[in-house]
Amino acid sequence: MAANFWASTHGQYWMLDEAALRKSRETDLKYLKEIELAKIRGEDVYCFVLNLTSWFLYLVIAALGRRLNVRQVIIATAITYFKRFYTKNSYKNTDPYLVAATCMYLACKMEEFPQHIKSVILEMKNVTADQGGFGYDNQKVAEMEFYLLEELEFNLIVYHPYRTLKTLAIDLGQKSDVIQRAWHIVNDLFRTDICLVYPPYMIAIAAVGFVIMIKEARANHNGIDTRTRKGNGSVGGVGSGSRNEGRGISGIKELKQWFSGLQVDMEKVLEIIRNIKNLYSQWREVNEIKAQDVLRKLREAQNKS
Amino acid sequence: MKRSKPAPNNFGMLHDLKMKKEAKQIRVQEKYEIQGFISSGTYGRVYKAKAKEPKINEHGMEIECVYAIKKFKPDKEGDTHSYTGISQSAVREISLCKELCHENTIRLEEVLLEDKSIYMVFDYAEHDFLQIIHHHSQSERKPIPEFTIKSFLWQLLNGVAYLHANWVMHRDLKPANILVTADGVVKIGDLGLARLFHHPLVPLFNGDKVVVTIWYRAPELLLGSKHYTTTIDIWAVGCIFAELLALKPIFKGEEAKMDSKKNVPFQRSQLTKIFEVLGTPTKERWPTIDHQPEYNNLNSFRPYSNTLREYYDRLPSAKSEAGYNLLTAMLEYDPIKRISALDALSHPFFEEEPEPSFGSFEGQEFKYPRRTVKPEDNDIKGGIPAISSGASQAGVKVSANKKEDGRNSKRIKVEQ
Ligand SMILES: Nc1ncnc2c1ncn2[C@@H]1O[C@H](COP(=O)(O)OP(=O)(O)O)[C@@H](O)[C@H]1O
Ligand SMILES: [Mg+2]
Repeated sequence: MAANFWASTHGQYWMLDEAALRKSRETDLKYLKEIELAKIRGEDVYCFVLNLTSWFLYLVIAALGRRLNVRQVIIATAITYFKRFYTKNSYKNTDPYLVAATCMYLACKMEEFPQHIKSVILEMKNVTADQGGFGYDNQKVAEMEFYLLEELEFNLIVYHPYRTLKTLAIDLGQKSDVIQRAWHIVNDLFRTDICLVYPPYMIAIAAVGFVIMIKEARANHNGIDTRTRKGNGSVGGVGSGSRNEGRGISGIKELKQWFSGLQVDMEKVLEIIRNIKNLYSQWREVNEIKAQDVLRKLREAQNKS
Repeated sequence: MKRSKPAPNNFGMLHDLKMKKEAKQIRVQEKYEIQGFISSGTYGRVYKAKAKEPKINEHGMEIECVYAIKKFKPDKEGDTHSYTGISQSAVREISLCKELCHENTIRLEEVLLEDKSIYMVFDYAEHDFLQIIHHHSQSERKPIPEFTIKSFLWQLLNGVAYLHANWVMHRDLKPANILVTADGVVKIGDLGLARLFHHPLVPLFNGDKVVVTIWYRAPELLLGSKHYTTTIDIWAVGCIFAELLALKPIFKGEEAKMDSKKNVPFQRSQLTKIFEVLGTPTKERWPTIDHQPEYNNLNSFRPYSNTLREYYDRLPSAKSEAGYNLLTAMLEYDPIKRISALDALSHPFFEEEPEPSFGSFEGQEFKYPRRTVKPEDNDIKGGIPAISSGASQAGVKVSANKKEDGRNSKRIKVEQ
């Protein structure tokens, strides 16, 4: 278990492939067409709308976590619960806000930072105040917790890339900013479903690899590549580091050497890096207002049904 | 705070999930035949049960499956009685038991949720250390055979080593929580206080103000340590080893109770008991002792000398010099110097005759009595509503199976 990812429930039961994920979205895709959400057609577009929704729900959960003053790991656990739940359920049939609050409540207990059920509800009310609010009481959240536990098959211990990052940090030494940047990328990746598909240690390594790639690109362009900087404005400082890091090419060479020495399936790592690039290229298209809008319509449709 | 629009009170949403759950719901009563109850503990009750459908093994033979079902009462708010979901202790135990898989830790068959209660279905274990110690001190009036003790201790350490290797601290090792199957295989149970200890989010102290039943509590905990380590489990194992030999707790102190403000009191009595046997801890024996929060309190104790040697030599079944060495290594004051579970496993004690085995009772001419299973009192509120006819007809009023010396019940918790 804890010492060996592949012996854990996370490694054994919760590594899904893309196909399984797509399948789990079918009900919602159909539903989106039915309610003509966003009045657009085409599978890709619907998928996009769906991603938008999950993106926005990440923001809701993260905001709730920040209000409760919990650490990033707890937010990550809550989001993982949330995503696991929605591989078996649809937005059509469940209220994502109720699920989100319950995931947070359970994650806090699991990560040994228990919160009062009332504080979770109160903060969820605050977070959702301008999006239709949160109308559930203790009893409902507690009831939801039961359903959640069952859908999670009582597999509550979740692994996160952060632990691997901490281990890698020992290799890289204190002066390196690579880990800090990778850390932010990992946070951002929880907007996607990557945590359901790849093992956390690979995600960590991919994030580090991405940082090194950016560093290399910047070094090659001798710091004139402002396009990358703008595009990644909100990606946790990647590409916005100070120009006088003093590492130069030799630093990057060392980094690359160190990186290629890591014992890991590099194919998979490259796959994840492609996902990271995708995420940041979508960044500009996805805007929060649009996502909120989609979610509001979704919940309205739920109320009517 | 912005005023929210009328919130959509989407109870229909829960309705859907309810239907989904009910469609596949297995009721405890349908799947298991409750044979009676075993224990009434901190969080709920433990029942003995038999699977109605026997399992078929690889040779096509039916195997009877017996289980212990631990029922957690719903967590309620003290005064308001409003339901607040699953308790932290249940979350801990479920999450860890789902991951653990080892010969010397109890196996969790499944978890069932029903009527706001949680039912954890464990493999049944016929005995536990407490019951066996009792049997020897009360009925048998003979020490536990050396081979059995060594086999118990080795398996216990084997389980603890597995837990520690997987970053799990048990935090409540004591005879009542160490189960033994009818064949003599040790199964560490009760992970209700256990937790993962890598990168703790908060100093361990914050989560639970008090861990480990007082008689098995390590000196660093008694002296107020906030960042303790797995070595607290080893101290408890040392205490258990001594108790298997002596048939009574080695450090049987009185617990100082928490005051109304929930301040953790100084455990003078428990420390005195320890000092009487091990001597007063000194800076030589425990160089960082002066960093312990309660260090200043130590001035008020009179000096004691170390009498563990005499204590050990008086014990009838303690003949091995290596056994004494191992005991001292586990009851080491300084947590840093205390032996690890892994090192303890390869201690010379286990290489001496008789060598330990998973069949701790091999060659024993007597059998231990089976676990007492009391028929359920149907009136007990919150019990499993109806149990198998045989037992319920008995209709005897039985109180909880509390052990009179409190070894089974003295666990105090303060949860946030
Ligand atoms: N798997 C089991 N088989 C048989 N008896 C058990 C089993 N698990 C627990 N018990 C009995 O029930 C008692 C209480 O269970 P435990 O898990 O320790 O809960 P608590 O948190 O109440 O102490 C144990 O001391 C033991 O006597
Ligand atoms: Mg117990």
